[in-house]
Amino acid sequence: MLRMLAARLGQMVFVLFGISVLVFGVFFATPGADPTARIAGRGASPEVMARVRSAYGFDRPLPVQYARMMEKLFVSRDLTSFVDHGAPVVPEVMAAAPVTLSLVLWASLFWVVFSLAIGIVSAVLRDSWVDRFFMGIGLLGLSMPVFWLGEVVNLVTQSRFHDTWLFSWVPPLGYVPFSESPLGWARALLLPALTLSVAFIGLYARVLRAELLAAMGEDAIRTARAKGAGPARVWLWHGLRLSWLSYVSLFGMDFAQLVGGGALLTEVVFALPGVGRLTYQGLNTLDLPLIMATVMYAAVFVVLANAVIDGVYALLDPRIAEGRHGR
Amino acid sequence: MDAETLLSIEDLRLALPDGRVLLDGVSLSLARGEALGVVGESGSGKSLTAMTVMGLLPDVRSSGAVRFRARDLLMQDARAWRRLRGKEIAMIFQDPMTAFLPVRRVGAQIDEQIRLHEKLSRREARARTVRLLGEMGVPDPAAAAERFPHQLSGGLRQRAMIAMALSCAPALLIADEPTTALDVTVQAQILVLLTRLRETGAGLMLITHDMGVVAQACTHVAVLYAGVVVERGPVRAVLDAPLHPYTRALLAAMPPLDGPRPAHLPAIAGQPPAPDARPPGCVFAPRCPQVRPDCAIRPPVVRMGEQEVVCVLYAS
Amino acid sequence: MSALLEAKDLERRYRLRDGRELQAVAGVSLTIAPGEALALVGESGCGKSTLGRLLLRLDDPTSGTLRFDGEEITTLSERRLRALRPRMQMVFQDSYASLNPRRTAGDALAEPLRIHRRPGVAARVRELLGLVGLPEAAAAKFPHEFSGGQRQRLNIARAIALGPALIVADEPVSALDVSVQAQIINLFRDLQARLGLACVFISHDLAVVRQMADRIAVMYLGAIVEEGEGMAVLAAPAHPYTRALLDAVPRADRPLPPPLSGEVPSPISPPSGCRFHPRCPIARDRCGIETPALRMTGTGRAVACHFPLVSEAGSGFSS
Repeated sequence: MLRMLAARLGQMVFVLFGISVLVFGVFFATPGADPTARIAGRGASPEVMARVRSAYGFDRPLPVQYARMMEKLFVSRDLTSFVDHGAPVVPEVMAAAPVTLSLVLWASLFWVVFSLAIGIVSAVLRDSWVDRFFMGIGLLGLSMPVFWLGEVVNLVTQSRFHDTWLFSWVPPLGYVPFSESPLGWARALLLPALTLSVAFIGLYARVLRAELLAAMGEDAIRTARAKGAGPARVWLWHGLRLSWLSYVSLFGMDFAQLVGGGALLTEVVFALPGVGRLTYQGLNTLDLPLIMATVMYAAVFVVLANAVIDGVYALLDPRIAEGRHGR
Repeated sequence: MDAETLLSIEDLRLALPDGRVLLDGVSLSLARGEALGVVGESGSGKSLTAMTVMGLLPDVRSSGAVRFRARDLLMQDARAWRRLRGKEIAMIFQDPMTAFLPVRRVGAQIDEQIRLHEKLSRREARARTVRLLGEMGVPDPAAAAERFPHQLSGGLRQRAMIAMALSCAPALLIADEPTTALDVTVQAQILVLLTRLRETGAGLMLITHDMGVVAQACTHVAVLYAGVVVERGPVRAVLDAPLHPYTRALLAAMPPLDGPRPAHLPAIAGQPPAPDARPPGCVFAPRCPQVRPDCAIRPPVVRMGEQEVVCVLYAS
Repeated sequence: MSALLEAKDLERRYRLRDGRELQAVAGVSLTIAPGEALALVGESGCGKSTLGRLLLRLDDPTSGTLRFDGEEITTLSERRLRALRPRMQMVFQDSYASLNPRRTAGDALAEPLRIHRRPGVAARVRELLGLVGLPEAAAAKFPHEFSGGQRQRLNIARAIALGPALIVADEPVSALDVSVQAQIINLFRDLQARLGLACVFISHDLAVVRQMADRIAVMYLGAIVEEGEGMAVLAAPAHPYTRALLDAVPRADRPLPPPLSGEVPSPISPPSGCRFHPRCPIARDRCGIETPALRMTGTGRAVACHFPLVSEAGSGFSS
């Protein structure tokens, strides 16, 4: 068990190393591109250029440059954005992270609850009008672009119907930290989180329905019925148990991807100062240090999530823990 | 039907909603302490018969009667079925690997069945589980209960399956090819176990394709072909003097384990008919060496001593 | 007559992910004469299927030698082996999985002929269908349109298409119903006699093996424990395991003798000495220490047992 953990940890470090080399290579070692000019930003003075060149070691060989960059990112954490006139990048990302995390936590709560309910009901009532209705709605949710949906929500709740009794509670766009006001925090995030979760509800409900129906054909389910278990027990206790493996792995990947900045569009539309919006800003101004930091931050989350999923997998299916599947 | 009769199936017919006929006249009966072997090839309807007795076939139209302890099972509602399944009639399946939920411990799955039917604490249920596993010859039953299905060998898994089936002391046990997935030496162990079970007074319905298994573990046999019971009676009588041409052909087609080796096995030509292409008369007529013109009409059930046979050869 | 296939001390080990080793085939020697039918019998995990694949070099032995028609093929390159493939073919248990579902029976039969540039493909396909008892119209059908028995006929036709000298058939009839099984057994025996084929049948079913093969080799945990003329071995087994296997077959004419206790041990950590000794009803101290060699006991019978059940003459029981 300890050996497996160590191996897993080594694997994670290796993956992160690979990603950092890749990102570094794309932005800094592309032939013909002068990273100094990019880091310094557009229209920088020659003095600034010279300062950047020596600070990042761009007059030194590539491995040194890479090491310097990683050192600035992870050890001294003083990587600064030149676009933003010397603001350190790492604290910026750290300040944005709780916003994104809050948004994604709320969204995932919605999408898990709703997709479980819809997926199970659709599977139980398969091919009925209820099932078709839900799957139709799900497809609709799946195909609505999140930025469009967000704008529509804003239009309705912020301006058009803001003064009706229905939406008067909706706060202005922006984020309220939990420490400041838990209620304000929840109110500020409710609509963005719902908007973000719509597509996931559609997708997850479909996946769960398909997996559940496949599981119901298994011998083990026949055994459960032969034991005298009622339908609720057969579906929820036995069926779900067999079918939520792919649901869980899908969830882990999506969750990590969103926390890593994948909720960019939602954050921009609802003016939430999260990691996604930070990445968006960095890309807009070609702020290379900021991009480097956000990409590495995202990579850490995805790699971590992968490890967590594998752990959860082993808990859900003991055959995986022993490195064998089936017979 | 006398008091000792546990299960009697009378002229059971099953059809799919699209009209394809799955069972076309199955009559069986089983008394307490008896073991009935239901023999047939794949597609003969032997498993369907078992599933009907368990009420596990959702989308079929059925006619005829399935009587269990004087109750007509086909008439009862879902709640009554649930009380019956696992408690009064229990079932074991061919592949104990897939029949158990792979992600839960074996003991927990047996406990579940006990607690579904009896108001027992977890601890009491587990005590019974361990006792049953021990009785089924599982070494170190308390530890085995804590294993996952894939951590047990095939033979131990099937023993655990039988323990689960017996956990609520059912009056009838249905075993669907319980030894087909096992090695011969393990099959022999399981057959011994099933034979011992009869001594408790329960009835056993053993679904199999293997006449040898029937000979070993059953008191009575019913031979199914293409959804029809073509012959039934006590095992000894049927094996010693098979009446139906199909039963005879089936026994002759088995390669012998001793005596002279035939240059050619007397195989039955052709294939069993598909459910949508069954002949209207005797279902075996197209492959029968003794076919006659009057086989075009479904023959009646004829009683010959202890045996019953569905064949024109015996119709007077 | 010289041997068609000669295996000497064949061994196959697999390294598991956790570093342990599994010895699937533990030093097997056997010969197959041209036109002979040999059966490998045993329970699951005894290594019979692995051995079957080794014999055709579909898997590479860890050690040991293999000669086919006098030529050493143990380490022959894949390219050189390809020239030999038409002479050695395999038939599998699952008749459906070994056929491409999107290609007709005719295509399936024509394919090997085209690959090896044989002339007269169409005529040969018709001839092959006739040989295995399928109508000519079957050539236009797809695998799913056949019954299990017919599909197995088709697989056999494909295996004999290039006129092989040796066929290895892994459980060729065990997925079939009794009545159809008898047809396929008969077909194999016909083809063997007509084409002078040597066959290796792999099976767990003693009755099937007795009907199909002249000689049988009983395997337990990767090794042959008894080998000899099929009828003789089954009439009077010399190895206690063969005896137990035979006793375990449920039959109409006698009650089941008390079965062997326990199950086959894991090939990852096989027992010391005689591998069968923990389950053997007549084991003595010596059996747990000293591994018995496979020794000839006269009349073409070989047994790996310190205390064989039959004497040299092949009849009567030893003390």
